[in-house]
This record gives sequence, C-alpha cells and structure tokens, in this order.
Amino acid sequence: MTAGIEPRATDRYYEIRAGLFLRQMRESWKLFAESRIGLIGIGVIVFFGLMAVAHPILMATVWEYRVYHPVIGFDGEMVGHPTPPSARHLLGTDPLGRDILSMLMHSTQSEFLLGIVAAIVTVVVGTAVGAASAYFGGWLDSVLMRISDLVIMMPSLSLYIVLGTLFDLNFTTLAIAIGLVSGLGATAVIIKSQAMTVKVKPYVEAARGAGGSHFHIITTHMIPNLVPLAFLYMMFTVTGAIFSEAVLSFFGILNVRMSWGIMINTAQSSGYLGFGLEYWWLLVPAGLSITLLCASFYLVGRGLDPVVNPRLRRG
Amino acid sequence: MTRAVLEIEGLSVEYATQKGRVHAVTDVNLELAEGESIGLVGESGCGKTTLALALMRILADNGRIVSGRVVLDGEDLLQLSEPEMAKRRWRAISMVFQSAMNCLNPVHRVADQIVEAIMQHEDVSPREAMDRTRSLFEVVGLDASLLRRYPHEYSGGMRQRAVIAMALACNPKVIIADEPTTALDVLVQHRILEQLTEIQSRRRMAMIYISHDIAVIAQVSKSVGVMYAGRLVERGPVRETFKRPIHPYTEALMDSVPSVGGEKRPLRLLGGDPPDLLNLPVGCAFAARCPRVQARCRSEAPPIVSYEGRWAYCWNPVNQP
Amino acid sequence: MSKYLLNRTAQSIVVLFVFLTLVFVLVQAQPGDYADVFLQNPRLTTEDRLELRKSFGLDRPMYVQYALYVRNFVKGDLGTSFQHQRPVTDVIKERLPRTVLLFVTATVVSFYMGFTLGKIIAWRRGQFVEYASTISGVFLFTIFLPWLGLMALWLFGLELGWLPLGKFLSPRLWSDAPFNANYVFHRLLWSVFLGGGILIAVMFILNSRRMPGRAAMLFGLAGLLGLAGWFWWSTAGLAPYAADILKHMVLPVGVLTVVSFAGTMLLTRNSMLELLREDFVLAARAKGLPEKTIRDHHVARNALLPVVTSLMFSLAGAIDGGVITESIFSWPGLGLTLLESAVVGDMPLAVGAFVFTGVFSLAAHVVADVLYVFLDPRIRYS
Repeated sequence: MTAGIEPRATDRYYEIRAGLFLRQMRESWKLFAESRIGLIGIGVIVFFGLMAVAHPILMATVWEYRVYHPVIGFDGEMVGHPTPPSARHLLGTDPLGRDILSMLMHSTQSEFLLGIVAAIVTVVVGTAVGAASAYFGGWLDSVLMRISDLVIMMPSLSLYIVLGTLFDLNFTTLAIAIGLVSGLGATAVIIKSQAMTVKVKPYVEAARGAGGSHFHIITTHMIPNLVPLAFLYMMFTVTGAIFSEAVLSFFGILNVRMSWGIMINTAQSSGYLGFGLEYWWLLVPAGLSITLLCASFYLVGRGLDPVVNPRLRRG
Repeated sequence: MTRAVLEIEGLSVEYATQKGRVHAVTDVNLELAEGESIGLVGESGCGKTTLALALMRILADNGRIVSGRVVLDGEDLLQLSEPEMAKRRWRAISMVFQSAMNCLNPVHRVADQIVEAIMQHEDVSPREAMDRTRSLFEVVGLDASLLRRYPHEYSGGMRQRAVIAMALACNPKVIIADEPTTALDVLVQHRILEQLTEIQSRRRMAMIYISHDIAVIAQVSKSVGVMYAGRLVERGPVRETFKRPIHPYTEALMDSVPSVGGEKRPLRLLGGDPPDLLNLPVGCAFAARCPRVQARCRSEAPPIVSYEGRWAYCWNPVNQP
Repeated sequence: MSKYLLNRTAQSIVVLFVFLTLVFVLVQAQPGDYADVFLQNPRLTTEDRLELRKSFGLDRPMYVQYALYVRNFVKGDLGTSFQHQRPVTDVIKERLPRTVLLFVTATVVSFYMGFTLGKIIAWRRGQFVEYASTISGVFLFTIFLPWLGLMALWLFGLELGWLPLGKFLSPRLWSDAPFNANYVFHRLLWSVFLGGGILIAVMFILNSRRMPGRAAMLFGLAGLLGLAGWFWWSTAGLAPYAADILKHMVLPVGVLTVVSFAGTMLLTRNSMLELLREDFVLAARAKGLPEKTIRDHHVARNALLPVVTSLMFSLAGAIDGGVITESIFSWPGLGLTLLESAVVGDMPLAVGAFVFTGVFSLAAHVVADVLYVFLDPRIRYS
C-alpha cells in the first residue's frame, strides 16, 4: 500500500506525500548522523528515556513498594539514613530513607513530560506568532515584536519566581509558562525572519493568485517550511526548561513532589552539603542528571543545525 | 637593456584538497624589468591570482609553493624566513586586491589602515605617516576630507582608489593589481586605469596587471603574458601579441572578442572546458581544445618558440617567425 | 547615530510600559488578592474586610486601579513590604547597589575572559584544540549553577578556608565601623564606573591612532588609576572595608564567570574563524603586519560585533544567574530579595523586586545598545 521511497505515477496523492516525507526524514537523519555530537545527544536522551520507562517496571516487579517508592518510601531495615550506595540501594538513600535511584528514575518521567510540554507550547506559539507577524505585517507585527522584545529582555527565572508566588505552580503549569516565554521570545523573532523569506517565494504568490485564503497559505505553505527551524529551537527550550525547573525546585518555589531539583533541595535543607563530597550520592546523581539531560538536548540541537540550515553543511 | 627587477623561475604551486593535489601553477618563468608593466590574462581558474598570492607568499593554509625561485632585486623571496618575508611585503612588493570592498577593514578608518602599513615598514612618526597618506590621496584623486572616513562611507570607485593608494604607500618596486576594476562601471574604470598607469610610469614601478579582460590589458600594459591551466603559454609586447598571436589559445582569446573598429568577422568561441587541475594531462594542456592540435601535442610537452622578444610554448604555432 | 539612539530609547520606554502592564495583569490574575493576607485574621468582621479592601483600592474598577498603579510607579511608590514593614522602594534601594556591583563585575570579567580565550583559541588552530574547547565549553555552560556554587562554597569556604562563606561582609570587622555598608558600596560603584569609563574612553580615542606601545599605555593608565584609587581609599579610611567586600565578592563573581564565559569564548572563536576568510585579513597579511596585530587589531575587533550582540541576548540570563548566585552565597542584593520574599509570600516586595529586576534588565540592554553603536562605525556614521 505504501509508496515506498520513490513515488510512482500510479500512487495515490497521500501515498506520494508520505513517501516524500519518509525520504526527507531519511536524508535528514543521514545529515544529522554525520555530526558526532548530535549522536551523543541522542544517545544520552535514549538512556534517560529507558530510565523513565524502566521505573514503573521495576516498581511493579523487583522493588518493594514500601521501601522503594520515590516519595513515601522508607527503608526501615537500614539505620543511619542517608546511607551510602550498597547492594540494596544502588545509589544509596536520602535523609528521609528513600532510595536515590528510584527517585532519580521517577523524576526522569516528569522531566521528560516537562520538556515535551514546554517544547510543544514553544513550537506552537513561536510558529503562530512568527508566521502571523511576518504574513500580516502592519500593527500586528509591531505589537508582537514589542512583546517579543519584552520577553527577550525579561529575566525568565525571576518571572517564574514571581509566578510561583502569585500562582500555584506544578509541572504542567510551569511547562506551559516556560513554553509561552520561550515561544514568544527569541523563537518568534527567528521564525518571523524565516517566514519573511518564505513569504516572498514564488509559490506563495502563486497560491495567493490562485485565490488561496490566508489560513490556507499559512498552514499549507508557510508552516511546513517553518517547522524544521522551530523544531531546532525546541531543543534549546527543553534544555532551559529542565534547568529552570531544577533551580525552582531547589529554591522550593514549585509545588511538586519529586524532581531532581527537589533531591538537591532535600540534601541542602537537611544540612548534608556542609560536608562537601562526603555525602556525594545525595548531590552528584541528581546534579549530573540535570547537566547531562540539559546538555544532551543542546547537543541534539547543535546536531540538527546543519540539517535545518543548509548553509552550515560540511562539504 | 634595463635590468630585471623580478625574475620568476620554474614556479609551481599546489593546493592540498580533499580530492587531491590541485596543480594551480606549473613551471612559470617570467622576467620583469624595472618600470615594466605586464598584463596577465587568462580565463577564471587559470592560476593568475594564485601566482600573485604566491609571489607575496600569502597563499591559503592549504597552498604550497613546491618549486621555483622568485628573485626580487637580487634575492630569492622563497628562501627567506617568514619574519624576513614580512619585512619585504608591501615594501618591496605590494598588491591591489580584487574586491576592494572587502580588503578594507570595516571598523577602522581608511587612512589609519594606510598609516598602519607605512608605520609597519618605516620609522616615521604617526604625523608624518598621516601626511604621507594625505599626499597619497591626492595622487589617486581622493579628497582629503575622506581621510577620516570609514570604508562604508566610500563609493566603489573611491574604495578602489584608496586601495591603490594603500598599495603605493611604501613605494614598492613591484605592484600586483589583481583585477582591480572588475566591479566598477566603465567610466570610473577608465579614469582609474589612466591614473594607475600614470602613477606607475612616473614612479617607475614594475606592475603585474591581472585581468581576464584583454581590452583593459591592451590599455594598461606594455607587454602581456597569457596563462592557461596554470602555465604561462605566451609572452610578448601587447600589440604584437594581440595582432599576431603565436599560441592558439591567444588566438582563440582574440577571436572571442568583437572588434569595434576593425572589419566585421564572426565570433569564434572556444568549446570545451579547461583541464582538470587535479590530473594535468601529459603533453600540452591546451591539446583537448586546440583547433591546431597535432598528434605529438598530446604526448610531448611543447617546446618554446621565440622571436623578436616574444615567446610561446607550442608545437604548431599560429604565426611563425 | 543620534536618530538611532533616540529611536531605541523610545522603544525602551514602550517596552517598559508593556512590562508594567504585564506585571499588573499577572497580579490581578492571581487567585485572591493583596487583601487576603491581611484577612487571615478570623476575628475580622465582614465590614472590616470591606473597609480594608476599600483602603487598598481593591473595590475600584480595573482601569482606575491600573492608572493608580502607573502613577504610583512613576512616583516611586511600590507598596509596603509585609516582612519588613517598610516601603518596598526603600528596601530595594538599599539592596540594589550590591547587585549592581556584583553583576557589573561578573559580566565584565566573564566577557573579557571569554573573549580573550576565544581569540587565542581561534588563532591556534588544530583539531584537538577545537574539540577540547567545544566539549569543555558545552559542559561548562550546562553545569548546574547551584551545584557549582555549593561545591565552590564548600571547597574554598569550608575545606580550604580561603574565602568567606557568604554575605558580603564580616560582621566583626564592621561592628565598630564609622561607615554604613551602603556608603562603601556606593563609593565602590562610583570608583568602578568612573575608572572603567575613563579607561574605555581613552581606549576609544587611542583606537584608531596607531601608536606603538598602545597596550602598554593602557595598562599603565589602569595601574595608575588603581594606585590613585587605592591611595584615596586608604586616606579616607575605607580601604579595609572595601577590601573586605571585595574578598566576599570573589567567590560569587568566580562562579558566575565560570558558567558564563564559555558561551562568549565559543562564540568568539567561531566568529573569528569565519572572519578569517575575509579579504581584509589577507590584505593585512599582505601588508606584512605581525600575526598578533592581525589577530587583535583586525580580526578580533570585527569579531567583537557579533559577540556583543549575543551578549545583549544573554543579559537576561545573566541576571537570572545573579539571582541564583545571590541566593547560594547569601549576597543580600535584589535577587535574594526577590527569592526570599517569594518564598515567604511577601507579595508587595516580591512584585516590587521583580519590577525592579525588569527595569534593571532594560537599563542594561540600553547600555549594551549604546555600546554597540560605538563599536560599529557602520551605525555610528550612516
């Protein structure tokens, strides 16, 4: 049924579209795979993805609920929490007797969720604003660009802190806030400049001449050309989102039960950081995970750069 | 007989690329007398610019001079160390670049860039250097008010003049002009060329004028050298060479340009492409496109044919002595 | 140029108003309002509550509230802090100079370090250098700032005992000081700005004139200024106190620098590598100029432009970094104020601090804009 990679004259329209899309995906992947850093990034993301998926499996099978639950678990059989890594607790326990590895893996799910929601919001908002601004111009453009100016200039973390005071922030609401800020800011400006180049392409003019409505032109012609670029910036948004959430949790602004930032917060507020690296398992796994996951999305973004910007391709 | 200020012997330059070694310049021999102006003509990619860069030893990182001698005023430039060569640059030999727009640093004033060159090579005070620059501006026809301006405030013609002024700053013995007027309109081009030739003859500077436009070369230079595929294939006084070329390529060049004053004749354009510089053919490089090709052209390198102070490398020259 | 600057200033004022409006909207959008804090007391009757709301102006229509809000902002009245029982503007005025000093120092140091390193690295080409700098660069700017801060605090503060653990002064030293800490801060700020301003102005004047030993002259001038400053400080008796503040600044500035210089470094390196293909670099080499001159006077000077532009984009992030750093090192500046009041629920102070943070950011952007105009002659004279 599918057209395969090369379209034939006898295929149906959607089959041809699907085939072309698949071919473009294959080529993009080849280009992406040329950059080692992109592959490293993907590798790390896959690793964390596996961790996220493995957690419920482990909870359902190997791990005892009462002991290993990331939030309310408590290991009564060992004394002197936090305990260092052992056979029972591969990464040790925290001051409240909870298994660090379990907390780490559980949080991975929330981090991914946060990142994905924020990224989607960014892409949607950024593309919409950028495309509308470029296409309609005039006062809409001015207003939107002024808003973008403001967002770029405003320190986002400080904004989230204030938002945390005024409202009740959990993962989802924070993700939406981050997505909005990200999408309205630099992303919108960059997408707008890309949209401006698309706007003057002959096929857009042709579509307008053929009587296409604004909506049709924007969705069918402009958006597909903008999505790759938006996708690229999405990666950087995820980096920022994970980092922001970690910091906010660390400061206790967020209303979440468990995340990597909370893990560090627990360690600090229980006073175990004064001993430097003696209680390293309280600090290093969480901190390292934040850094690694942030960096991996950034590297994927860098790897995507030559795919999206043909100018940057090597050779 | 005026002594030679520049002698190039057997110069060969290669570029190392991913695909292999590109032989950009092969075995070029050239002599330039003091005050002599020679035009280097040839199509794009024939090695003219590479030759110029090689003379000044400012090739790109992947360029290498593989053999030859470049004797300027009695010393072989290729044997000098880098610091010694840096001292010679601009002082003994300077260059007017192809795209004047880009060879001026946009964030510094134009006059300062000339002053910089002067002060690098001569022991003068900044004030003296600025005075020199002012008189240089006069020489090239630029108003003194432009001294304090930045490159983006200059027009194309002004920039070209400024670059010429810069090249003259240290009174070099040899000046290389690499297609300096290509980007300019005809009127400006004509004026600048006039000025350049006048300066050159007055200061008795030897000039190598690189261009693919034979009309310009005819106007500017006394003698001409024709380059093809990295080799210098013909050399001689400009009028003689253009009227009665020896090498078939030179003839093809002349045939491809319509003549305004002379009789009407059909344009004969040369087919084919220049040879691949990665794999130079054995024998004459022009054999594949030559209308006068013979069997031995493809297998043996052509000998030199010379008379009346002209020479060319050809098995089957167009105009025999 | 003046037209450009006027344009930017007008734009900034517009942005400021949009910002104030945004804050107003956010505050209005929260569930409940200011008065709720006071209304925790169950002994208040309904009439009392209504009275309270009226006194806050919360019963007036929205646009009236907005007008009052703007008027108050212009007057400098941002409300009263719950915690401190003082006007918000007073609290902020007290703490702002400390943040400014920290921020300016950290930004200047990290920019200078990043730019210089990037410049040097770009000139030493080679696969290894490029890989190493890219990897370390990425690692450094994705490092978790609080973690780095805590580690630094532990290492230098506790383990080695070289540097103080937090805050910006040692109480014992100051307990019988004749001056108030803010006085010293103000003096410090003025010195930094004055000295820096003189240096920059002189650098600018010397920029185009090619003079031998220009760098030496600048360093000499900097040394002279430093000496003059130190002399003046000592005679005024301020020296030990200023030194104490500076000692406390080392760690926060250091941590901030480590995190932010990598971005500048990589960008500088990349810009310089791209610029190497330009013809004016070839021309500079043809003129027989020494390598260092080509690198610094020609290539780096041009690379400065995109790097400063990107600096403008990262200013907001730098301010955020400052907030985190202030909290880790208990540096009582604007950022810490924002965080503390947010955690405690002191809404007027939190919102006020946020407004000020926004204004500070806006001012920083305007300064960076002006700086850029001076750097790029194509904008200065067009």
